[in-house]
Amino acid sequence: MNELMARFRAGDEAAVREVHQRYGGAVRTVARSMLSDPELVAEVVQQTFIKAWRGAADFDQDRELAPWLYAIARRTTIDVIRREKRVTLASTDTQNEADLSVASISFDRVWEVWEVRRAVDDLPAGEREVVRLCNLEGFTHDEVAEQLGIPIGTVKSRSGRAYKRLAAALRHLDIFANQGATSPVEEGGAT
Amino acid sequence: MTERGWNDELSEEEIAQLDALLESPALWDEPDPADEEMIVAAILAEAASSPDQAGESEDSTTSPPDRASAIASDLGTSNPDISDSGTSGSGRLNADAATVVPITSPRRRFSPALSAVAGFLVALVGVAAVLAIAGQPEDGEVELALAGTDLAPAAQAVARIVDLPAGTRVELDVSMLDPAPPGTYYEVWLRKDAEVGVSAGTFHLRGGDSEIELWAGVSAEDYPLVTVTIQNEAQTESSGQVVLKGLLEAE
Repeated sequence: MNELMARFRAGDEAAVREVHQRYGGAVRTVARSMLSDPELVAEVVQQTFIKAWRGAADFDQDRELAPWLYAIARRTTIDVIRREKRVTLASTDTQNEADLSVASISFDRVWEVWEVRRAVDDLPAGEREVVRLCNLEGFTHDEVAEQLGIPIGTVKSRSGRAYKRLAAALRHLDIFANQGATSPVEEGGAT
Repeated sequence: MTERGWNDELSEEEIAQLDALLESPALWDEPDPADEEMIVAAILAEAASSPDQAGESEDSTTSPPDRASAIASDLGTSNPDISDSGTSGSGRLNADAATVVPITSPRRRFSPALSAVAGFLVALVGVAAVLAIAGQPEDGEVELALAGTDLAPAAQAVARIVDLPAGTRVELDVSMLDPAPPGTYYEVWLRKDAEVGVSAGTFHLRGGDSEIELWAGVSAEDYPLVTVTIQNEAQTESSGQVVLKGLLEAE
């Protein structure tokens, strides 16, 4: 990771692409959890990585890259939302950050969205695809087995392993503490 | 959907929570290749126009983009972006070079070490202290370091000021300052004090960082306090929202 960040900081094209491919999905998920306009989502994604590059020289190599990118993504999304909502000018003696007044912008919720996406991205490809087909596309295990050309037992075992990995990775989040609470991954909350 | 025959380690509640999480389309969005191309193009363009950008930041504090966005938050206006088509609603970035007037004089980098040797701290109008130096004049030009305020703590600038027959020319080399959000712009002021000041002009940085040339109709000797404010387009007077400031000391 240090080597990747060093190359990213230097503006190496391959490194820029790799960082985007690794984290672009999660950044996109954060943006989509608060924005419904696909053009604005694209703007957030692009600005996040450009800002990350501009600030890469200050990035502490001992830190985790993901939380840092998350902070930039969240901040950028909020700024875009505020721009679109055209919040009125703050008082002249205010030099501190204005209160967040945009609906659905809960710090904890957005962080949970990021963590869930990262956990999904960390799944082995085979498990991830099974879970995606089952949960997003709504296919049965039989249908997934047919689509992927694998035995149904393999589908079930991949699904089971994926759920166990996700549960282990996400147990620290409130989404498991608050049983029955609504999913934090809600699309297009503010715009 | 839930077809469970394999699970004996997760509770029903945990499975239900995961089911709910994993149904969201937003969770499965793949990175868009078009975004990647725009990002690469923008970074390469910016790196080419600012060859000393990468790896040479002199600020070891908070990442500038996050902190500088407080400017937009404070004014309740737009997010800094590098697009010149912010009003188009396209959301696509423009990686074209800056549109400010280029200057021919060599670009000088702000050196904290130099300022520490040659400068001094001044408290001005009850706000954050600034670091100011009076550089050695070359052909009547003086160099002044501007420091960021709480609104843009990582921002820095070097102002090269020279009194000419047509007026006072101010050449500003800005770094670590986010582009002004659409609907806003930055304005440079030469001030006698907190009450009396004259505008030297405006800029926005939405095309990227560059050196900025401005002109004032007053002498820097009489108006030694240099500030940069962020303004709303509807404002005609100073907003008072200072992002950079410095004081020119007579030698």
